[in-house]
Amino acid sequence: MTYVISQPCVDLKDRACVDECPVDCIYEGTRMLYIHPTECVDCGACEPVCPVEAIYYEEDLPAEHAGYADANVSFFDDLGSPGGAARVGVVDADAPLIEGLPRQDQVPAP
Amino acid sequence: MSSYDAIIVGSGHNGLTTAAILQGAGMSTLVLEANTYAGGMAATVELIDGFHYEIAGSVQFPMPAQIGRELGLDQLPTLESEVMSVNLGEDGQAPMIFYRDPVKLMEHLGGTVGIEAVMGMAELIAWSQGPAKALGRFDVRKPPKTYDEMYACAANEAERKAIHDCLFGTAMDVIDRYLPDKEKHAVLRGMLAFLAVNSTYRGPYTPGSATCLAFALAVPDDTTAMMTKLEGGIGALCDHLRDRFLAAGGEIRYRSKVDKILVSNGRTTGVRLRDGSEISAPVVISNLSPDQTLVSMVGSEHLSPDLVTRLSDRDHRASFVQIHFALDGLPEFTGDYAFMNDPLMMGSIGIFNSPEKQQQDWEECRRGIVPDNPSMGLQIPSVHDPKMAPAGKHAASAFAWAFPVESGNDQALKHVMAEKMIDKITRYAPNFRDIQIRHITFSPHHMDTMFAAPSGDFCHGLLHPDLMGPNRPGPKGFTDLPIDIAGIYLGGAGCHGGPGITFIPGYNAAYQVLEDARN
Repeated sequence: MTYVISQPCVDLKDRACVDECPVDCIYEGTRMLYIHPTECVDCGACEPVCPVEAIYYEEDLPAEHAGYADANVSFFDDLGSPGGAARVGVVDADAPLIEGLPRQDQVPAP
Repeated sequence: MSSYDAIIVGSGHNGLTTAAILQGAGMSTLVLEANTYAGGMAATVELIDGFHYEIAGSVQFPMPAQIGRELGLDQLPTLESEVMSVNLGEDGQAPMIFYRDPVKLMEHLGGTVGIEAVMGMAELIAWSQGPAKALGRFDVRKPPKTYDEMYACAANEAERKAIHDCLFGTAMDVIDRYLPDKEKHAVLRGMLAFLAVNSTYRGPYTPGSATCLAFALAVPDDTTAMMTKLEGGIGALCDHLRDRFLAAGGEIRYRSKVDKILVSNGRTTGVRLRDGSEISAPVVISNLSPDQTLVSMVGSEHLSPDLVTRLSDRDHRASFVQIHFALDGLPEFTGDYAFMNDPLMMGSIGIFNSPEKQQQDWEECRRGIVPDNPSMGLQIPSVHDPKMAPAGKHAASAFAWAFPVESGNDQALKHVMAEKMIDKITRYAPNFRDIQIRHITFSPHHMDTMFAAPSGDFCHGLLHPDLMGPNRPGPKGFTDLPIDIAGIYLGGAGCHGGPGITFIPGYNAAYQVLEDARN
């Protein structure tokens, strides 16, 4: 079980969570941030600091964001486990689910 | 109608102690835990798949026999390692090896630091007995003492003087008296100085540091208990209490962070969680620090202005950085330290600077400077307890002191400090960088976000003389300034009987609740 970043982060990437993470396991893709599923130590520090409440404990992921658990895994298919996001920097890629989304900043807030 | 008789906020060792007692006494008890596991800062946590770590507490210090017996905490499997810890010097001094067997220990000390050091240690332990009574280190169900009551604990003038040292003196006033030789006693002096500052924001030459020394050296007079390592790590104690609580019909909800303790007409009605839901109960016991519980969660509008003042400015500047390592093998020590390659020696290693250097490190950390050569402990519990790591691998943890906790720059400076710590280990064991699979560094800030330890303060009020005795509350607040809200109790490490993994604050809170229920 791990924490998962979901749709509200797409095209926003506030990065407050990156500063909070004690193990530097939140990686930056082109359009979204991703939590490394095995590097995460489940401390929960990131969840309350997210200004758009995009971060959920995997078990609590709402149904409309169900695909994001897999997205946070598949993002690392090629990256593997680099052992720290700082040394990797921005990765010019996204999980397929995110690549297929329209620009989120064009979508008016509900 | 409330769903529960009592709600306990936090499932650390104290919360679980209270929970086990209340549920056992027939009260329907709910424990609310913000994390995904029980145990808080006394948990053994699988931070990395297959690797288990003790995150804050790692040894069971002596506890009152009454609590150990009643809760079955004295029945858990312990690790009877022949060597409890090894302390290394920096300049080729003979190491101090703490053998479990007292005869072997005396022989070792006699052969290295000399018989006068053995005598000095015995006198130092004797010195701590008066202060242990004054601080109420092993008191159960007794209120904290005023300073007058502390002095009144003395059986004779020597104990009275020791109590005076403990409240107003420096650790080095005491250490210099019994172990004066800066060369011959160097390793012992460094170790004792560190023991005196590790739960403080003080140097060993700063007045008030003798309090922590006395607290740490104290042993109860009714047992011969000493520091013990547990099979499965420190979390075994909490797992035992949790299982006992659940078996009695108690309930724990994880990932349930309490935001507010609700108060109406002078009594508590329950709690509100972060998700906005409310749970009602006539009794709420909080294991967060007293100031956080009362000022933030209850709200100062429900407290007297004097109580708010009393709770302000509690010192929480805990200056530790900890690193947890996943290792692909064991460190290989070289040169004078090759004797360490016996895994027996690797369970717990102390590498502490001289008292003078510890003082300097602390003074510099106050100005934002990371110590170049930090005083630190390194533990590799998996050498004695193979279940702590996958086969052939090892889980190690390092704890270093004098981190510039006031800089407000934890995230950047923790990496600087971590590198200094790893450099230091590498000077003794040159392969240490190569055997690392991964390491995780926690700053004080993380202890706050993960365990609600205010500013990282695992003591919930550091072990300073001004935060002991009359300024350390009991279950219903300060003796002369109680919490005047019915149903709210304090049970955490910031209460009398704490800090440390003593179980006393939780035990006291449970029995206060039961006593109040009877009346």
